[in-house]
Amino acid sequence: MCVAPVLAGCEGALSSLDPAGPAAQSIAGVWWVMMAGSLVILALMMGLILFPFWKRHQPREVPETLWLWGGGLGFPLVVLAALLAWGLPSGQSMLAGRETPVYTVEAEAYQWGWNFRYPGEDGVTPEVLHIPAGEPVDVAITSLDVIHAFWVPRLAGKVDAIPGTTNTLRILAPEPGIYEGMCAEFCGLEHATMRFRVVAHASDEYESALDAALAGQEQP
Amino acid sequence: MSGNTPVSLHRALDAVWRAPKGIAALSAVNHTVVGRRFIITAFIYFAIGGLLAMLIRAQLARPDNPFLGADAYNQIFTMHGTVMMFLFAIPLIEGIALYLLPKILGARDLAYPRLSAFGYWCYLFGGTIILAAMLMGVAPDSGWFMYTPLASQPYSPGINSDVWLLGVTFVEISAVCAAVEIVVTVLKVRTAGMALTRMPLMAWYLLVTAAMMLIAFPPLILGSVLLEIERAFNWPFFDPERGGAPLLWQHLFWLFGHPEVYIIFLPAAGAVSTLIPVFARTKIVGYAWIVAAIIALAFLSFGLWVHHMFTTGIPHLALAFFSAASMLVAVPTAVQVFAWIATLMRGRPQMTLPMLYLMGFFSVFILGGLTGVMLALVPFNWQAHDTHFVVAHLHYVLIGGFVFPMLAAAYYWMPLMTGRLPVFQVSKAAFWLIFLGFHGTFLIMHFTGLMGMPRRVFTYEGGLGWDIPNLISSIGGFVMTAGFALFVIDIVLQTRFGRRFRRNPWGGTGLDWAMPTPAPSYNFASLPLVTGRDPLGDNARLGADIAAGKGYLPGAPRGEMETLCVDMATGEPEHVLIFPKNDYTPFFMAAGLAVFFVAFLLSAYWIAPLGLIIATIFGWRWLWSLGAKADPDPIDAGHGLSLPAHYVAGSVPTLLGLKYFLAANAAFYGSLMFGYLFLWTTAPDWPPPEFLGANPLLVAAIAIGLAAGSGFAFNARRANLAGRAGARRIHLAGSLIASVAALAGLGVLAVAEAPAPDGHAYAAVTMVVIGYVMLHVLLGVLFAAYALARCQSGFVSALRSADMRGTAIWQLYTAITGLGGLALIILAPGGMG
Amino acid sequence: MSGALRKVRGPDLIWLIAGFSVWGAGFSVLYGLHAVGCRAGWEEAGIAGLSANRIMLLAVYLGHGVLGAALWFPLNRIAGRWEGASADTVRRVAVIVTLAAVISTLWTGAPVLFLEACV
Repeated sequence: MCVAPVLAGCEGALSSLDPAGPAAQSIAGVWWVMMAGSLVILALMMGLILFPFWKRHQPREVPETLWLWGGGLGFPLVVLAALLAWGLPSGQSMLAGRETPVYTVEAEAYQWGWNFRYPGEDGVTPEVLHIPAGEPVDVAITSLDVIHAFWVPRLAGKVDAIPGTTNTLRILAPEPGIYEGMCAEFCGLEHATMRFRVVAHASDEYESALDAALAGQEQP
Repeated sequence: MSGNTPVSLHRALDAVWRAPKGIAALSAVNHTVVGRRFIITAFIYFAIGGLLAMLIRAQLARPDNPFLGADAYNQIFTMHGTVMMFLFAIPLIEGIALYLLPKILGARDLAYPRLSAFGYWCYLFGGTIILAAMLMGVAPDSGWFMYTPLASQPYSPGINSDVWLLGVTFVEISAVCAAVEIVVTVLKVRTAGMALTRMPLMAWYLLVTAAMMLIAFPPLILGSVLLEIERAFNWPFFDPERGGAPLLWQHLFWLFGHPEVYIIFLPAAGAVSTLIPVFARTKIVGYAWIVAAIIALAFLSFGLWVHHMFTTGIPHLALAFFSAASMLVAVPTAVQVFAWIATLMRGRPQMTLPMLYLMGFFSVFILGGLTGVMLALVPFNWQAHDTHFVVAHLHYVLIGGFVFPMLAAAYYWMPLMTGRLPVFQVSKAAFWLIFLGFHGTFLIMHFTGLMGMPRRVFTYEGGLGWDIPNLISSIGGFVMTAGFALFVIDIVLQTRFGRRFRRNPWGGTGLDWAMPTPAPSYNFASLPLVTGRDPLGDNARLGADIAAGKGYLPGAPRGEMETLCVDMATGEPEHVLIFPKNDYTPFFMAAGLAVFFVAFLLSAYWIAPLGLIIATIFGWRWLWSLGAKADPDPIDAGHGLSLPAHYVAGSVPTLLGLKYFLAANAAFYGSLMFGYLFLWTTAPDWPPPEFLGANPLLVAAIAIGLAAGSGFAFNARRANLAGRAGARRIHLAGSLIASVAALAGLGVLAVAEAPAPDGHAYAAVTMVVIGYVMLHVLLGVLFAAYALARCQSGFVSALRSADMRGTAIWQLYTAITGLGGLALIILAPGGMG
Repeated sequence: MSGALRKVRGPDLIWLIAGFSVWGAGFSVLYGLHAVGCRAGWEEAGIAGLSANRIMLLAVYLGHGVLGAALWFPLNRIAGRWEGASADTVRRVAVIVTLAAVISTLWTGAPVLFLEACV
């Protein structure tokens, strides 16, 4: 997915530029488009700014229609309208809770760790969230003390874990595997090491894997 | 005015205006002195903030670095943000505004010299508290954004958070003072003929900036007051277990925090709009467009704050409003950039030293703007939020949009301060080190963030692809620091060894270059009549004419410090503003507040009111020194113009200032109302177990007291205009008694009818509304007593009516906000409970 | 334009902020009522395929757009009478700002036209 050879190292266990889930993929895609567009705009603007310093430049008339109506108003409005027209519906499509209810797990943050709960199951799996691969999962996120944030960069954007409130994030891991996550909101002394991981299991193995995890028998 | 020579005028003026030396320097109030103090102090804090940044970069240079622990690191990054925002950027803007405004507007000082001196002492004392805490190892450590509940009592038990809340609030007093000062100065204190649309663009930028400060700082001050009350007295505004809402803090903080970015950017853009035409040897393109753009920017910047909260679970449609507004704000910025480009195109620009720094501004700021647009896109924000991508973005915006233009401005205006020109080669080297070091630090950091590195982590493990980018950033950071060190050396070299010059080294066209350099204590020996936007460009001999006393108010024939006040739109002279002499009052008033803040910080709650009493006594003294005991004669301003003294004018500056202060106060009140309704509609654990009891007799008594306090004050004002001294006294006494009665009623309401404020957020916020009204009624009592005393001492006449009008304005504000607040807390439980 | 010519006065400067005051009011009301509407369940009630919540949001959105645009008439009448040093530029700024404010009102509220209200 990474385009530039100079930045060959876009892969990483926590890299949003090495996306796995559909939300992360869509966002990484728009990032590369926006980056390319920004470089073009930057080059254009710097060209315009530096051009008058060129020896052969002659002072010229500057019609207001072109520079202020066109450059100042028209140009940014068109670009921004296009970006919004893509961004707002796309953001809406990533939200949880829109269509038929999906499998919902609970994430509970505290200083400094995570507990995950599952529907119809007693017990928790600390620091590891088990989900079935290939299907959307809603994570209902809250906190016991201060504000934290749930972020698995390769799957989706982040959502804050706020005490007294529950926020829901939809994630989807297309393939079985391990996806690293972290607390993304500053939460005190051990914020830097408040990590967790999402383990996605093939759907036919999920039940048994979850039972084993709840029973304290961590699988590799 | 025959017989005046430039030398005799200079001697006469300097004798009146000269800044005091030695210990008496504490009494100095002149804008040149106070502005310079602000600027120098701000740069000292910039150096401190920069050193903190170096510690951060040293720690993050490699993974698992044992250099700093989590606790030290948390204090350091919190202090870096706090120092740079509150102790460097905002005060530097204030300093530059205070220093420059009279010089570009053709005035001899600001509207309220003592107010800016007071602001400086608040800044210095508040900053010292914060700095001292850092040296003692108890600096704030919850982030410069102080999110609750992390910054609340159970999770931050030490005094670290209190240092932030009290210290920053103390410093913000100076921001509000400076804002009032700037607005009134730009609107009123200009030279003859300077119509609003003949003002230099810089004055427009500062006017709009100051107006934004009036509205933007009060929400932060409210938030800080609430959080400090929660920490000190356990009133649960932000505690979700007792009906509070952690997100209320975020709303109040970012309601300030986002306009803040534009408050920092606009004055810097003002410098760009000033410098570009000078060095392009032409006039600015699109003056009206730029004015329109900054007005639009000022408004739109208040519709962006939730883009700092895109991940907090707010409904998507609400995010969409803020996303759209956040993108739209790029448009007025683009208008300005294209106006600057068109100006360059129209002229013949030269790559002078300030222009070189402006090229740094363009390249850095445009990129920062583009990443800002990216962050305004909701889905992208969900990934990038709270990562190093945002760290990169904000430094591109703030260093690009503020520091580079300010360095350009420093090189441009330093000759005005020192009378010397820069030592060119050193400054060029400094530029390239800063420029390359900056991009080295922050360009790669966009990728570090997208690779998943969150903000505010003191350590990270290797192998995540973050190692090399962080090392590059750290190296770049040290290169940039070397550049800033070279800049400081260059400035010192300039003050010592710079080439001297006569006048106007850059070919500027504004009044700031129509004075001798270094700028004299009084700025202008006489005040010129302005007929266009480029007075010095239109008349190259203007400086000599001014020095020869050919303008208005030449010299100091009455031994007073005088300047012109004009009609705010047309610039026609209206009255003569006579400035106060140097005065220790601002220093002691600020010292009184320092006693309050330090006592509160040390939980010595019984000593704290003593500080407030000291401050109030000096505040009273300050007001008492205004005006005069006899109606003044008109003043001969020269050229056949005879003008009244300011304190008998139709628009007395003091009253205008009072109105703008009340505008800021209304923003505070509005934020409080917002907080009340926000808790009611969104906080968990509502409705509360117990509501405010509302004895109808008591409520009616309070309401009548509030209304009568205002009504009597207006009657007293009318009686004064009619010259009826007896009626005036009776009505003032009526206003005083009505206010005392309202105060007593409110006291009963608070003690007997309101539930205990530490039980539930409802009770806490209701008590704050009552407290707000009580405070204003109490001050209303003081205002009425003050007006009575002033009448008794002969300061008040039909002509000298400022005290009466001020009291009436205050009592009206108190009645409106009091009745509104009362209605809310009485009716809300019935209507929505 | 009828009426005697006169100088620009201090109170005329209100025209520099009138348009964006309408924008600010529209923005605040939209944001506040949306939060209340979704919480109070107005999304469920409604007529003709539009929820009560949506109708309210559209009314606020279009209402402020129309209000902003309507400022043109008094502005045109009053600003037409200005003369003197400040007149041309203040008039020009007022026109640009008011136009910008109407565009802004339509722009920032536009999401009510095509996004779901309460997710």
